[in-house]
Amino acid sequence: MVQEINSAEEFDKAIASGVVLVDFFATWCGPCKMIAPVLDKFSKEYEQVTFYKVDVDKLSEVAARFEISAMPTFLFFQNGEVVSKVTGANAAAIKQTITKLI
Amino acid sequence: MVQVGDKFPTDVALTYIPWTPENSGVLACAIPIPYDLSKKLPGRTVVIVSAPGAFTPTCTANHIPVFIEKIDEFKKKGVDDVVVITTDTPFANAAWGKALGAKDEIIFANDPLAALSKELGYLKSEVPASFGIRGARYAVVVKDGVVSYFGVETSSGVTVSGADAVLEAL
Repeated sequence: MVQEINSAEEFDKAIASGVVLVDFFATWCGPCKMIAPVLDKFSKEYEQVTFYKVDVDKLSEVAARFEISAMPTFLFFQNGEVVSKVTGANAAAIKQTITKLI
Repeated sequence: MVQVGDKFPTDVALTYIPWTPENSGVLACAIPIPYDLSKKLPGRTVVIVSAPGAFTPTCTANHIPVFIEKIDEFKKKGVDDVVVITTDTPFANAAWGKALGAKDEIIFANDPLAALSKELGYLKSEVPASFGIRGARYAVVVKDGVVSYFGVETSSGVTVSGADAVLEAL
C-alpha cells in the first residue's frame, strides 16, 4: 500500500534510508487519481521499495522544497537523496525506474 | 522610475510554470512555482521582457518570437535567463509560450497585478478599463542585480524592447 505522509518531520524520517518512492499528488488532479491504483499495485509487487504519497496542498513546504510544479511527480530516494524523478502519470516510466533501482 | 545603474527590485514574487514536453500535458497537472528574483539575480545575467498581455499583438513587428529565435545568441552573450512577464496568470503565460513554440529556453512568468512594472515605473497607459492594470512593453538587462539596460516602447511597434536592441546592449 501507499502510505500518506502528514508532516515534514514524518517526511524526513520516511526518506532517510532504503529505496523510497514518494508520489506528490493533488486531490483535484485527474491524472493523479488515474495512476493511484497502478501505484498501489506496484507497492505490493515491489516490496524492496517503500511507497509514500504527499498531498502538495497539505504539505506545501515539502513540495516547494523539491520545486514540484506538476502533479503527479514521483521522486525516488536512496538513503535520503533523490536519485530519480518521473513527472506525469507515466506507469511505464515508474516501473522502469523501480526495476533499475532494486 | 528605475534607471540604468540602479539595483533591480527583488521583492515582487513572480511565478511561472516550468515547461514540460507536450505529451505530459495530459498526464500531469501544472502548478506555478516562484521565480525568486532575490535568488536568480545575484551573480547572473537576466533579461526581463514585459508584454502587456499573453497573445496581445504588436502592430508591425514581432516581439517575443524574436527572443525565442535568437535565444542561442543571448546564451552566447552570457545571459542566464530570459524571463517574459505579463500580468496574465502563469497558466495563460505558459500556454502562450507553448503557442509561440518555446520550450524551456525562455521562462514565461506572471507579474502579479503588475507589481514589478509598477515598481519599475512602467505601467501601460491607454488600456481599456476592462483589461485591468497592465505593464508596458519593455526589456531590462540585469547584471548581478543591477540594471545595465532599459528599453521602454513609447508607441506601437518593437524597437528598444526588442531582441536586437537588447543583444546590442549586452
